[in-house]
Amino acid sequence: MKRTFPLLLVGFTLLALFLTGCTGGQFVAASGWSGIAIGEGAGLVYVGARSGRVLALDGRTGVQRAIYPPLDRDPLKGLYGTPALSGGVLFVPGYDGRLYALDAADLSERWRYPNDASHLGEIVGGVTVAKGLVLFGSSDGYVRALRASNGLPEWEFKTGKKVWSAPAVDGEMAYVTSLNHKLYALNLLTGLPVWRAPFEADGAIVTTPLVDQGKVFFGSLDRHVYAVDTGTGMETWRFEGDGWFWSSLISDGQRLYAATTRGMLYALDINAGRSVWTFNLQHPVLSTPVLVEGNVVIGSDGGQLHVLAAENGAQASSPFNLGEKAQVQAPLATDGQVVYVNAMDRRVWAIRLARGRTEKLWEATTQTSGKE
Amino acid sequence: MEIISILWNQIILNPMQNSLVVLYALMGRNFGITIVVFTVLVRLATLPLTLKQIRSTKKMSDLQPRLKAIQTRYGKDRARVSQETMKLYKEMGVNPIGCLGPMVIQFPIWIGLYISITSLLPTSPERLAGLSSHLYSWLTLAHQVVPLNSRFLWLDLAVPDPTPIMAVLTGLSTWVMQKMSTPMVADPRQASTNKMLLWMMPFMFAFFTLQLPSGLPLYWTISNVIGVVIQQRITGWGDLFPLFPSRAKTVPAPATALGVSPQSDTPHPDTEETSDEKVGTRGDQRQNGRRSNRGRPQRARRRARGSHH
Repeated sequence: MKRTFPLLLVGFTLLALFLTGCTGGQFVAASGWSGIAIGEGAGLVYVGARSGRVLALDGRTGVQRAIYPPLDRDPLKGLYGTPALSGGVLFVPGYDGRLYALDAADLSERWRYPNDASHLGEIVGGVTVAKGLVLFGSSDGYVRALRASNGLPEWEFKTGKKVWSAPAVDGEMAYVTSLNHKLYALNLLTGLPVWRAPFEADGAIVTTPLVDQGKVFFGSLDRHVYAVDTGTGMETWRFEGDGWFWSSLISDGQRLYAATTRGMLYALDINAGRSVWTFNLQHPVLSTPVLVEGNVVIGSDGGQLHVLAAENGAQASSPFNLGEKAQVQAPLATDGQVVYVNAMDRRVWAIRLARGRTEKLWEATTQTSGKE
Repeated sequence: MEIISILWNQIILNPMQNSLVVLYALMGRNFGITIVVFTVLVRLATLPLTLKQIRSTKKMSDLQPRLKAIQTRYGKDRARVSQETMKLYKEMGVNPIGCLGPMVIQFPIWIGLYISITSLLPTSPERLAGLSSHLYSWLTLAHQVVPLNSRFLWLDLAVPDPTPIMAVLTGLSTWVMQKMSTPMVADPRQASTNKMLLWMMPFMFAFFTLQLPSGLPLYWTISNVIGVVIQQRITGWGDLFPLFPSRAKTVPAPATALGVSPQSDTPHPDTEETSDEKVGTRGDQRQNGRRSNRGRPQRARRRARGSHH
């Protein structure tokens, strides 16, 4: 027992340090992987920084033009969802369970919801703006629609489990996925379910649905991509991949592009759901890719951007190195020529693609010197 | 460091997370019951070590009078004390640090369980995303049930209990376990350390409980309850219930093999206790040896101290 006491003391001290997050908070703290919203003519680009602040950067130089919250105020708890820009207003989903509407010019606050001390569940997915409504899901299991002009609630729909994706809007319909394995079709204006029953996948869903050619496509943690008929809510096809589909799907009208947490990118025939080509990125993919000039641009935890020909998956150029610590987990953004990357090493990159070649326009740090 | 990380993941974290997910699917998708069953399984798996620890502690308690005798006899000759002590341990087949086995095993289990809870439930999107690489690709079921439902009774197992209930349960069960398993020692310094541990451990666990996802304190509490049952079956209630003392209360008389007079190292039991000891079995003696001084009347203790002078 004499030797037990110091051993216990050392053990408990280490355990306390480990369990209570004193090891740099890596086991406890949330940090965020918000994407980038691009302003008109790429004059300004808006990024949700890991510091918990929203930055407006000059689209041509990367110089910071505005910041929210101001440096003399505490940052937000975290930013995961990508901000959305509409009618001169930037809608920012906060991990603190609030939605912020900011003036796109100077990032001054127009309104927030809720506008008192209360908050909703954490907002992890992005926001979607359509027909004067702002739609978003939150970790309390609700999807909500607010009036974009003043933030007043229009309707809410309870899924029963966390909603970590942004709703997708197509005409009068809003499609919502949830961690409860379900895909809902809701009336955009009323929030009422349209299908007799929601479509149920085998696993949880964190991807934002993609609507194309009368079908809703989404990936699931059960390692499948699903295609569901928008009219009936019935499954059209499903495709099994090698890992979780965490990043949202994109489409060029012929093929779907879906990447897994095991680093495999699949190009799928949009009608039949069979694999056309695959590319192994060797690192987990959480980031949603973009299509630029007939190429799929995709980032991974490996800190590289790959540019692949959409037709056959061949590398259009050698990978663009962002750096070892520059994991790409936030969705990529593009204005059709320049790809914007918010990397996990707190740097934002603007990379131009021209004839399959990559060229860095600028890089900027999102590190701020205020309270963080 | 990378090799340690790989070993940690392959040997501890991945098997634990996959087992928890499978148990969750089998237990009606209730993570609270999953943790309870998991705790029982861990306790069963470590039962041989636990039994060894209890027996080792008992043996150590039984040896206390003889150790005291060695200390008294060889006084300041620490080398000789150490030599004779080790000789005695060897002779009696006692490993002085044998009681550490189950404790050492518990640390990685706690840490693994903490990481598993924060990933499986999950506490942040990063944690859930990171889980992907830990689930076995062939275990289709695992990919279908994550993330797990965190509600159990009044608890959200992913976050600390907002009420003090779990802290009280954890602290109380730790105290009971500690009280029952603390060996009786002759060395006053050691007795003082034991007494400090008896109170420090429950407070530490209660403090952790207020900070950690309540799934982990649930494991501690259930583990303690099982530990109390095992301890009770082997050694009885120990010092827990002074109202129900065991039949014999004495410390076994020190062996004379070392040439140390029994009177010189341990307090003398009173006559009645001695006669009890005579009729008791060897098992009884060993079982009750650990209560030694604490269960003895104050009068006898004073008398015994007098015999030293």
